[in-house]
Amino acid sequence: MMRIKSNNPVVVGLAVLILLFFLHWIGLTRGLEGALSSLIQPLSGKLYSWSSSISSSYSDNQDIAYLQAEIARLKGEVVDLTVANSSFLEIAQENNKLRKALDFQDNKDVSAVIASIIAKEQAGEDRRDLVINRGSQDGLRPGLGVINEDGMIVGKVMEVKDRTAKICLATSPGCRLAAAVQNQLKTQGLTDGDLGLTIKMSYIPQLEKIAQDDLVITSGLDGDIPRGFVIGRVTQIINESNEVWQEATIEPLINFDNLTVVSAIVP
Amino acid sequence: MLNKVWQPLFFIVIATASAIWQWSFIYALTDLFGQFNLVLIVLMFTLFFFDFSSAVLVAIMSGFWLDILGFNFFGFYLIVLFVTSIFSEWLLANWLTNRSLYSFIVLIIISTLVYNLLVYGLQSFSSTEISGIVIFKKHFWISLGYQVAWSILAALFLFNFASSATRRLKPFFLSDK
Repeated sequence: MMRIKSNNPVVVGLAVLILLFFLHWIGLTRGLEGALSSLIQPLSGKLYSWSSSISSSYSDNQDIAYLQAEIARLKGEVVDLTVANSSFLEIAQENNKLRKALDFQDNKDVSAVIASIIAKEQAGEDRRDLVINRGSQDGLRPGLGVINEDGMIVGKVMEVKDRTAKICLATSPGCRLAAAVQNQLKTQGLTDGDLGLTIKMSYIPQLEKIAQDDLVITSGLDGDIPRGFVIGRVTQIINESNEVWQEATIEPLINFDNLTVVSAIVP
Repeated sequence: MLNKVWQPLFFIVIATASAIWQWSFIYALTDLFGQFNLVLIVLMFTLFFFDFSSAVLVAIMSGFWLDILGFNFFGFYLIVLFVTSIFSEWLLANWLTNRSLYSFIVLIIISTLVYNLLVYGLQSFSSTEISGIVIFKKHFWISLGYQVAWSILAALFLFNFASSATRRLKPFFLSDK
């Protein structure tokens, strides 16, 4: 008959595993897990920023030709934007005067929780989520929008723990956002990440007119994500006459590899 | 060699450091470098050059850290690393009976395959993001290929490192002189 020795590593290991599962299940280790997680957050943040800077310098070196073309394109764009900006400044000043006159409430009444990224997690074939050092104890909950320092959408909160939260990138499949195109008709739709590289906007009615380079912003229909945060720019429109909806490919305006600090928008 | 008192402490520190380094640093690297599986390499090194008890300790410590830091269900990495260590010990005891570089490379390759099958198997049960049978997906085999390549490189380095530290791994010949 087979005898099981009490000092057999498999038996001891299994006993420890069952004990850990049980203690976690009844919540006894929760404090310890939270404390350990907080304890290593500064170190994790440091390691992540090293790793992130190595990755971005590696990819920058690979893309020199692309970057040179991008610089030429952006120089042209700066000239156009400078002209456009001067007229917008006029409009903004006029708008402020009118708001004051009407005692208009600012609809962007939101606060932001600033967080450092401490890790990346592979969550699927084309999906890499970010882990930030703020969690439910800081008021975060699933569904909140996450922006970078320029106020552009990075993604949204998917899961929260006491002291950490996982956010999906807007380019990751399954990361859906209610969006609107900044055109005459304020066309609305739903964005979803595409292959971890671009964003696809779907459910756009066939009759709506959208154009390349139109800006896409959050529509505010998500509930937890206010209207007006930039998601990206339309680069391609897919319009099949036999389809009910048309689709658009959106290029994000931020480099997700260089992110180290983000803010979760708490409405 | 380490004495019996310090050895468990040494493995706890090594397992903790490798899990934190893996989670915060390696996963954030680009695809090619991000596939380096430090935790598994440390586990296999411990199993091959030390003993199964130490490997179980490393599996549990690394698994615990990865579970409290990550967003899979609690126990995900504990199960994956514990089962991988048991399978590898069985392989080492029954198939790879000598302590050579070739044995170490075979052990590391097969354990990488087992580890990945367990990770994707458990993820397909617990996550809605993964659908279909993983072994039919190109992504799985590309990722496995990268990991195996890194593991072989690590095996070559670690075996040479270990053989310079101990005489046990050096070949010897029976001579009639």
